[in-house]
Amino acid sequence: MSEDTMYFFWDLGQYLLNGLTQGSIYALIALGYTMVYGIIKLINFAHGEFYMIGGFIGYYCIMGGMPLYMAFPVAMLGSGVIAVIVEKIVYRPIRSAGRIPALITALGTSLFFQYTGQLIIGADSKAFPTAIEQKMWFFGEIMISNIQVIILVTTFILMIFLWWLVNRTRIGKAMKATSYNHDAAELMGIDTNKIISFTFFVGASMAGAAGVLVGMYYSTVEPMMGLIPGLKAFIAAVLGGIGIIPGAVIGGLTLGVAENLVVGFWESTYRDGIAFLILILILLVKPAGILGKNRKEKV
Amino acid sequence: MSKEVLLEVKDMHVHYGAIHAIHGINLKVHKGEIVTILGSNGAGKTTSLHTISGLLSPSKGEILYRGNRIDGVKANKIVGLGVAHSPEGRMVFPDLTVKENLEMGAYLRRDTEKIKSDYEYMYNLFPKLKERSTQLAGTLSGGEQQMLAIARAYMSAPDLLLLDEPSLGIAPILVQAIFDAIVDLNKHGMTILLVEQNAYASLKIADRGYVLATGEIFMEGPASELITNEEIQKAYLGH
Repeated sequence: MSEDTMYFFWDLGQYLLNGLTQGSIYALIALGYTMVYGIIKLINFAHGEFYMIGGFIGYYCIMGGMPLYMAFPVAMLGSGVIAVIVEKIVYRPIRSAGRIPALITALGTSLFFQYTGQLIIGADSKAFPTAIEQKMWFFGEIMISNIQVIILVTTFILMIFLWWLVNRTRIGKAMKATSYNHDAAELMGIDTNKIISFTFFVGASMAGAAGVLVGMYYSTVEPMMGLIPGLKAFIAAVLGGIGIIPGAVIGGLTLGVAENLVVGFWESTYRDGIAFLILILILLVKPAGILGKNRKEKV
Repeated sequence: MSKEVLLEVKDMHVHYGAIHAIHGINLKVHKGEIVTILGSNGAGKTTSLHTISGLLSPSKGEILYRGNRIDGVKANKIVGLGVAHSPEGRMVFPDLTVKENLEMGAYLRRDTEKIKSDYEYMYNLFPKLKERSTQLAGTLSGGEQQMLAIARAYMSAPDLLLLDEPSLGIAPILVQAIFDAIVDLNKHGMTILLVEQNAYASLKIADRGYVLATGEIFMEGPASELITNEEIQKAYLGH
């Protein structure tokens, strides 16, 4: 193998690694998007803000001297609780009004958090405190940091946990039942309002976890930080098939890897453009997303 | 009849927005009976069941279950009181297995041992469900889904089972099996309120019947009388 080809493969490996790291963040946020969509058919455009809120809770906890392993669950809990409150006072009252009013309300909620965040915290970005010393390891020419390892391991654990929760627990099955049909679930004795609250909680706490991880990865947090990752996670969710939980993971990783390959082999300015191009192309070929399927009623 | 009245509907009215769907109906179901509600499409049969099980609220009137008012109680609470509803269109959970669908039926129950014997009873009643217990419900045929919908409703250990159009859209060969199962359930002590378009098959197994037309009951009586009634034969039995 010539030296050029060698370097091509080292580069490729590096971009794939960076892409998987980025993609697992998208996937964490996309999970909440897709779960909320699955359960009440709402595109919750405020979901990126739960990620921002998680980032800030993590920021203040660590600034206040809390160790990372405690700041992390606190941020998840905080984002989750705020999402439950938002669902209860904002989305629930208009749930029966139809999908367009709900969508507009979600956009409004998103703006509310972005600008309230700027008002209270300030619009400037804050340097995320170093919770742990950064370390680098090399595998040949591929560089991996301990923070990347933390991101990959944490998202992996959270995804396994979520898989277990949805597929193996009583409440998870109730979530699936509710997402199929609220009336049918109610007839089982399932309190669908509670299940919806719980879904917001779980989804937003995943996003909150992503917020802390990104704070560590890029060393900064700011009130508008949820905007672009929120949109990207939405793309990831649609890419994988909105409402389908494994689809969010596949969509997130695909998007992260694709973006990093574009950045590495082409031009970083095209990164976001490529993200949307991928969305358009996939939807042209497969309107229901990668794992999406059209369900027919059986006779 | 001196038997205990399980369900009593008194002057029930239901509105869908501006549409007055049910115009004050009265009906009674005694313990141990099979009672059928007949009527053509849009007569208000499904609406009546939805209102009894709490998915809809009546705009006027009372619904009494074991003498207690249940109108206005939420659907997820009414199941716990002992009224199970197998809805029209089956509505089995396609992404859950057959077994998990039955688990959802038993969602509010904690009596593990009794749940186990109820699974066994359902698997005996519908052997197809046992064969397919680990399959996703979405992969079942329409008839199998109907069996699952009935079994799932039974798993809440109800005293009253509401069945909405169990023969609708099902292969004719399975329709008889479904009606046989309903009779079997009734013999085991289950009280059943059966909504059907298949008037002949349901009158054959029912004790009493109500005929609903445009939101009003225009005839009621023992099933054996209704089945020979000329008007009914003309309108619903295709004679």
